[in-house]
Amino acid sequence: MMRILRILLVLAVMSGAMADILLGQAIEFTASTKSSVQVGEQFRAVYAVNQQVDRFEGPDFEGFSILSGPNQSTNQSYQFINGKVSQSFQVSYTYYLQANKEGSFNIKPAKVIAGGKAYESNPLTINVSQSSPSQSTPQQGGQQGSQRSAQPRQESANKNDIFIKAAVDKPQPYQGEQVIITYKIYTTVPISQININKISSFPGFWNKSLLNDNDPLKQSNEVVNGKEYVVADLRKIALYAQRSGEIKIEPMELECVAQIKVQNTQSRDPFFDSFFNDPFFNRNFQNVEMNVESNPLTIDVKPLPSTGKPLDFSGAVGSFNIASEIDRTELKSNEPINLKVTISGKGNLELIDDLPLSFPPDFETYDPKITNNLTKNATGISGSRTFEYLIIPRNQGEFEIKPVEFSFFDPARQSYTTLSTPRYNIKVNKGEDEPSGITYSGVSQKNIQYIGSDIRHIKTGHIPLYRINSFFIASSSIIIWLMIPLLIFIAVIILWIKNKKRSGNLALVRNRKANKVARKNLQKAGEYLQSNSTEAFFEEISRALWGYISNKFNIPLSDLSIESVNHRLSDKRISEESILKFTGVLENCEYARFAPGDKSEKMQWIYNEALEVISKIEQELK
Amino acid sequence: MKNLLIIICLFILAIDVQAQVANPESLIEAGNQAYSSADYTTAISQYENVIGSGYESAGLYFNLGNAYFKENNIPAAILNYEKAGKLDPTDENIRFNLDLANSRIIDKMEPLPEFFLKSWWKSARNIFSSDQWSKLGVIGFILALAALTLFIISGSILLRKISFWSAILLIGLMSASFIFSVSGYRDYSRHNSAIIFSPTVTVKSSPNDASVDLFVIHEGTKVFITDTVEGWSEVRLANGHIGWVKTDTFRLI
Repeated sequence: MMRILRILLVLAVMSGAMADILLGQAIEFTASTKSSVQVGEQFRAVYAVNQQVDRFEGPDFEGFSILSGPNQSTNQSYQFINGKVSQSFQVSYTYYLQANKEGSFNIKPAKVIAGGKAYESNPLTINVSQSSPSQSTPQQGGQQGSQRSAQPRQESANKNDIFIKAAVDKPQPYQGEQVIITYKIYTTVPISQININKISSFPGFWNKSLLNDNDPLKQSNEVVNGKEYVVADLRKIALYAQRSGEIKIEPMELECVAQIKVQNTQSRDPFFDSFFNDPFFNRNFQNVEMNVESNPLTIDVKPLPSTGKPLDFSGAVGSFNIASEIDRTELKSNEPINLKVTISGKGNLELIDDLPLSFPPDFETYDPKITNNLTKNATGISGSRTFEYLIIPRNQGEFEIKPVEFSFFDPARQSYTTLSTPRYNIKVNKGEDEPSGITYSGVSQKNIQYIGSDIRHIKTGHIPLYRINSFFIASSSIIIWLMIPLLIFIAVIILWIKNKKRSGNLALVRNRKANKVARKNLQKAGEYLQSNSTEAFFEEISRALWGYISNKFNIPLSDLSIESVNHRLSDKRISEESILKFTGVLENCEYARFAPGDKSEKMQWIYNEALEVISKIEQELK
Repeated sequence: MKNLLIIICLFILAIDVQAQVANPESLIEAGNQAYSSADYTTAISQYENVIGSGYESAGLYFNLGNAYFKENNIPAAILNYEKAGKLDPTDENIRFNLDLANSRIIDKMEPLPEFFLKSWWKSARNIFSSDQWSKLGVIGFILALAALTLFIISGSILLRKISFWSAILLIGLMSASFIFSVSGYRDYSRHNSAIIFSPTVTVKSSPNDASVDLFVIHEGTKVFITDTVEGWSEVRLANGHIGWVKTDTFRLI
């Protein structure tokens, strides 16, 4: 309640006072600044008005640069003294300026518009003098500590006080060999706020910092050119060249604030002077910001010698040892083996990618677990790199892990060295329990796995050769091969036909002659009948009958018998009667020939019968 | 008559003997030995010498292809495998190595599907080589004549029936064999396919340098030559693309 009342009261008074200000008081508009400044010095210029202002127009600060401004601030104060109210009201516009060049500058008045009227401030005159460190006060220095101020003259004056030296331990290393670059800062003055603007880049190098960022700077003292310097290692980097040739390393740049001792000879204030005029306070410091650059470096990287380079060389340079360790060599199938291969020594250990280990193809292997145990010290990186292999033999048997060869180049001895691990013989016994879920049947089968793919081997042994483009189908020999069988075929057919024709004719002739021959025989038999020569007669009759059949049917005489004649005649559709007659004559003839007794009567009958039957058969055959 | 036959038979034998000469065989043997001792450059020169002296065979091209393959000259390997496959389409090893070599080239192509009758025809033809087909044809011819003779001379009706039908069958077999043989020979002697030997070839739309670039093919790709005009050839790829390339970018199979 009280607070509200008080605020109300204040408001009431204020409104009264405001009215009072606006109405009663004359306007005051003043500009103030330092009359003399140094080049590069920062200072303020204040424009103050004791009334509310509608607009403010600042002047051009020719010859100066405006760091900030105009910054408006309002200051009101009320005083109640013995019942009387006194108040002050002030609006101020502040500029922060910096002198750029020497000389005397007139700054035109600023303008304000207040209550509809324009007012002008007083003009300013500023003398800018050449800067000199002795004129700076400690306070100023303190203020400017964090400011950016380029003061080239000072810097050049301090070039010898602060510098960075880049040094390389081996200017002509081999490719892959460790090189250490050290950046040292030399100073005779205290420095702070070291800020590295540009770190050297190391093109063509694999680099590793040997100092940790949060390590404190190690300091030492060193005398250079008769001056004692405080020296600190800024950066220490181990480099491993990835290519050969001349490689330039750009300089390192840093920014720092140096505290430069100044002698305050000229005192402006007698009081302060007397007060601070003792040795301690007499040592005044000025904080100066400085850019420091190191020297550039050139490293001439030599290529690794090609003579004696092992085939499996993979770029390791340094001096190394190899050791391997296996946890067991006899085990059951599906149990794991741990094989550790450790490469220890000094050099580009971290660049060793993988070892060319080859395991039996039937082993299940996993990518190695790589652990580094590296120590960084001033002389470089040393330690060990361990490759831990997990191997699981899946089947029983005797296996061999071949030794792994590791080659490196030793720059100290300038030669290649190849180390190898021992050979391990591993005996895998049958596992007691086959893992369930893999085998369902009694026999566990596996597809043959192709380990690699290659072309089939060449054809060995006899390879028949042919003339180029000598195709059997297009050669002359195929014509011969076709012509000869054809000729043989034609010859055979011709021969056969001829033969057939000839034998066919013979039979025809005999057929035709049969009757004639038979008749001739019979005629002879007739003569013998007349002369009564019995033997000759029967002989002739028999010859006539048999010969007739033989000639007629093309049957050799030797094949003839009564039965075959019978058969053949019935084949030829001769009547039963004629056949009987014919065979009857034949039988009678044969009988009479060899039987005793009188044959003259019979002879006549046989003669007649024979004549009759032959003409009869001849008739029937037509 | 008999004397004439003997003279003809001797003549045929002489032709066959003339085709196989002893001297190149020692070159092949030397090449095989060099190959086995991994001296592929020597092996290549030995095999090439044999071919240079005018001889060839599927086995020789196969071995040469293998040596080129080992030398990592894939286009030359493919060329020789293709030649070997032309001479002996039945050999499974040749086909295997050709497939393997084709898997090592840059261009991968989906071949156009062939009309099924054509692929049937080809697979039937490739059961035997052209020479084997022609020999089979000659045998078929002789047997057919024998059957015909039997048919003409024989008195028995059954024998005549059997020999008649077998003669017809044998004549059919003989004709098919000769057709296959001629087809295989024509395929071989036509030389209408080639292997690209230039590492990268830009295929043009027409036979001049200023024409539009159609596509790019690489070494080892097989192309079919469909036309040739003054140093340029029109090629068709297995996937059906057609364009023009310079004739010095490929070698005929």
